[in-house]
Amino acid sequence: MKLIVCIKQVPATESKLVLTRNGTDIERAGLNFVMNPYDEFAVEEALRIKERLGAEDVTALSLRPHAAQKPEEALRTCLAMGADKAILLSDPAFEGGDSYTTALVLAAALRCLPFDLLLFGKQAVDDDGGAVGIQVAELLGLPHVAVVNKLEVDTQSRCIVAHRQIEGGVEVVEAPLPSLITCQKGLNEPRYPSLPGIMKAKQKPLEIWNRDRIGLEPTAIGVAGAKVNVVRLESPPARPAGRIISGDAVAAVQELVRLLHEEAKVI
Amino acid sequence: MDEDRQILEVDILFVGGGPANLSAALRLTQLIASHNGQISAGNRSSPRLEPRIALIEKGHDVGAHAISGAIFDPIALEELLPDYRDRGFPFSLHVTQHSLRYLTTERNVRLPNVLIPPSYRQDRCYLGSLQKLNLWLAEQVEAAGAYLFHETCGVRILYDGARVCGVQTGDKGLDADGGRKANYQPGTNIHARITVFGEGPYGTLAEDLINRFKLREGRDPQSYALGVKEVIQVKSGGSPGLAIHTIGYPLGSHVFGGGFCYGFDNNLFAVGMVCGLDWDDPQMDAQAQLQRLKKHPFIQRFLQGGEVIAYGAKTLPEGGYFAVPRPYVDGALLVGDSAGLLNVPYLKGIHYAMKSGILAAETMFDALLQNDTSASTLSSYEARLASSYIMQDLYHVRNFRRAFAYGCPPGLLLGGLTMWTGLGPTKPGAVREDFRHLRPLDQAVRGRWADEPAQYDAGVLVDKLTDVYHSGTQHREDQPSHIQILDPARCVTDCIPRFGDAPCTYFCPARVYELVGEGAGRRIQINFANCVHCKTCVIKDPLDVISGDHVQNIVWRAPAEGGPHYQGL
Amino acid sequence: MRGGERMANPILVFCEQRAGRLKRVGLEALGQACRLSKTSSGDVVALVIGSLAGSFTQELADHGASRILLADDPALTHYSPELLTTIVADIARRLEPLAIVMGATAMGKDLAPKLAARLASALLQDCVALEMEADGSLVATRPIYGGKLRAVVKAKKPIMQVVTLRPSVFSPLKRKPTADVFVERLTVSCEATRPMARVRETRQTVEGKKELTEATTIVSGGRGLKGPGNFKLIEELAAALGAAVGASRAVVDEGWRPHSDQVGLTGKTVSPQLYVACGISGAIQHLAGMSSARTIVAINNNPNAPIFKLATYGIVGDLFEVVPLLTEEVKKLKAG
Repeated sequence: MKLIVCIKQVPATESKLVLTRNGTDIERAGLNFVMNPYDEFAVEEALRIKERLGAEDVTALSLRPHAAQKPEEALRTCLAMGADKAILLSDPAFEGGDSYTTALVLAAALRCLPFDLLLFGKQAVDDDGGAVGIQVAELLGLPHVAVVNKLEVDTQSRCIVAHRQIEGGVEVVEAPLPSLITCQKGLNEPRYPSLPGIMKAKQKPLEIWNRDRIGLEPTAIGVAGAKVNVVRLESPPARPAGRIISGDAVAAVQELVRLLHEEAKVI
Repeated sequence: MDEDRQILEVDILFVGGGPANLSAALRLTQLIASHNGQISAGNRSSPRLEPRIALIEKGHDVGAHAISGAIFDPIALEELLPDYRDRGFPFSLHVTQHSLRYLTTERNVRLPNVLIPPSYRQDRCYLGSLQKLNLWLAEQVEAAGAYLFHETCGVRILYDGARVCGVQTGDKGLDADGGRKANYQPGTNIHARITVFGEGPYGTLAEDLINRFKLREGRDPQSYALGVKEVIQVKSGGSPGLAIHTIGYPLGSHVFGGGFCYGFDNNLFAVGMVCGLDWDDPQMDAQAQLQRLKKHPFIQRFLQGGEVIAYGAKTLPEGGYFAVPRPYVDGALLVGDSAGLLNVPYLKGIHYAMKSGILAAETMFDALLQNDTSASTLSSYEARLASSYIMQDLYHVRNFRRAFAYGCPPGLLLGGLTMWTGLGPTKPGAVREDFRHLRPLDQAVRGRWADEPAQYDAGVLVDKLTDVYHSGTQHREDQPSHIQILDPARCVTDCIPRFGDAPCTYFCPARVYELVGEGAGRRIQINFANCVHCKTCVIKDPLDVISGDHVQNIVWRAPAEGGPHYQGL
Repeated sequence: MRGGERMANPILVFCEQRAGRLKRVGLEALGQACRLSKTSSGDVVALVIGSLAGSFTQELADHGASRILLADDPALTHYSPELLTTIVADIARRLEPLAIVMGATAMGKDLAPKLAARLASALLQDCVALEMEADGSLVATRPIYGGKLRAVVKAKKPIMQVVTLRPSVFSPLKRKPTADVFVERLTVSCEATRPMARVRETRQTVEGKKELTEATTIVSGGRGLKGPGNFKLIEELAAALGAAVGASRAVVDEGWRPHSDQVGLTGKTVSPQLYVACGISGAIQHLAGMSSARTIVAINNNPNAPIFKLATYGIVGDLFEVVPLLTEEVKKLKAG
């Protein structure tokens, strides 16, 4: 079995975000970047499958979304956790796209690699889109199961059975290999890289692939190819001033229930 | 339990990723590269040196727990990397308008610059952030081939007899009761020929070392200050290059310290207070004092309409010359703030940290050449320090801080005098540890505004918890608390009656300690997840509960995971 | 088609149904499509796919659908990303809609990206505001960075823009009885033309403890409850509302509630429809975890508690009096 984990490097969730002067992006200087937390579940799951089933290798793949980011660090973390090899897709032409162009680039790279199972996080906590993994599956003609919190791999019949979270329940989904999953919290507890693991990671291969390596027209990808443009980023609107319901407790509670029912329509 | 620990063998281990250790690691790689270069060129016949160098840092990266003013004197950097400006050095802004002000409740008096000795003027310095400096230094260190391990905390010194032989790192993946979670990862025993402790002020392991080897024997106990700092974003009207230092309001005459307000590019200001931890007032609260400082008309006008975007707190070693411990033992060195190297009247320690790192590197290089890492070889580090500008400066101002034992106005006069003349006592004096200075509430000398509640406006004036939020601090809550109170009952039966209130709830700048419950159910709750790793609590904790080596009620050990995420501090 | 006038491109609304019941978000999407169609002056076409037991046509028509497409096949009992993508893509190629709109549900967030990739068209995921420019291109606002920021994004081409709408943000049109509606039953092929994932079964989560991050209503308690035993007041109100129970960090630290119940910066981030905070002062760390809730109710005896700055409705009072009254009133409302 060959496994490929696709990961993204994102600002740590406790980061203070400041907008760039033109307001269409965040200022990256001085931010702490980490591996997307959902991607950690994907890496851990791949490593467990490898350990359990003696899979051949685990490759970590990432894409540099912005020149100021160093996804090499997140890839080294994957290697330190136990991945065997890492590939970084890095080219100015790849930057500034949307989910579709990102999926195009990843799919083009994945066509150059053998694999049985692709693992993604269920969404990156920066864009919160949750689309790239699913779009990669579509572009590669693979079945996918998204938002997986339990996974079994059957190498005999070459299929997976995955539990996928839906509103108020789970769907138990079966898919033939090769296929793609996106990983949700609950799937596992990601391991910490060990110190010897971190040292070994320095010796493991980390390849950088550019546009020539995977062969894509520059007009199809990045800003040029994106189907969606960012107009601006903004802070969420301030909440409108609340209402203090006065009066004695009985009257106040009755008024509250009326408002929740009639005005807010939440009960 | 120890049999399943992995062992990592290195030659040099640096504990803590601050400017001292990063400079040491960098200087050592430089010396080795030049040595090996000489051998390759046939100019030297001794064997090549290829030591494995590792650095561990408990923060998410080497900047995450780093906080300073920071006015940066490049003197040591010029020695370490003469071409630093061509290497992407992160600061470009110099101090252009420096003034020292004495604040009263409403007014300010500018103290003429001629009162400040020339070598203590700030003109040649950069305005910067220690976080950014550390990250930049770490890049140079990694490029030179050293291993940097982030989120890796030293929890125990390893000994081979009386020789330090490395450090054990913290166990990860423990639950609140110390049980092992599915991703439990036992700490590693890192073995090293020399271990360098550069953990900052009151380093957990550095203090273990100092206590075990009585490295402060015959010297003063260390005195500390607590610094609290905010970064404030204003919409317009920034003052890049501005550097104001204040004394007086809002501190009472018996608190040694003052405020600062620095102007940066992009309409950013750094404001802070540094308060000597030998204060006597059990209700003294540095974070609240900082809010008062920002309301002072002289400071307020810079910050109008601003918003706090970052906060942090850290202690500083202020004991000076007489409180510097012996900085070496068999197999180990102390550098930077962990060795108490800070110049109080100059308000700076980063350049000393870096210089001490350079000197430590030279010492270690000799030790590696001689293949002898024993105390006798490493003792040359102390001699190097003594003949460097660090100890010479510190000797000159040895009595500055001590002059303030007489209160603020006389201290200013005396301290200023000693700063100019270098006169005064030449021996360690009767300095008491900071925690011995607390007095009962009704006997403490307090500023007359101490009873006015600090005011908050959710913009530029914020309460302590909001500031904690802006520190970005996080500790996974289902892990064992890294802070313990040995005898919780005594907080209520002893501490509160003695001082008239619970001092820990005031001196902690991150609201870790909270007095909860009523009547007989009162107790101190520890919100360890708020902790910003400043060490104030272990320094100021006034209860002398004795347990093993520990003589106070609060025990603070560095957690294996978590801490602040400082941005631009 | 009216005399010679070129018919404007419609807006296609995928109305999700599970087990014979339409999801409310489908009606919300219809409502928004109707508002947008004032700019585009095209039809609003509702599409329902599944093994269709109930009759949805009247409900859809009454909520603004001018045409209804039904794809009914036993093979569509469970959700199938592959089959649904094929069906919707075929319809889209035929109708050339300006936009394909659906709810950002587990199904919508799965189907929309796949569909957009197949059509090579723009994807506007999880929108909280949606407008149409004169040329038909959509400008959407979507929360990013866990709600810390919002992105305003614009599709480059005004054709087959795939949109998912965050549930409960948009409102359905007021129901208006409509007699005349065009319903088309589609024959769809449910043959797999390529390897696909199949849902073996759909399991309901066991009743009982509700997961906080999934709950649409949350009742949280703080230190104002004074003791772990008093949490039963919170549990009773939660039961009456069908809500999950949350807690502030203070009470988790006290050991009154498990860490898994904690809402806030170091606990869980939630964005329910209704968040009732009882005896929670509202430290910024707590607010960071729940400030994106749609409606916030605060019950606290301290009128200066920061939670009131955020609350939609607040009652300043003794929670030991207010909360039981509220439980009773909610029960009465639900019974009535």
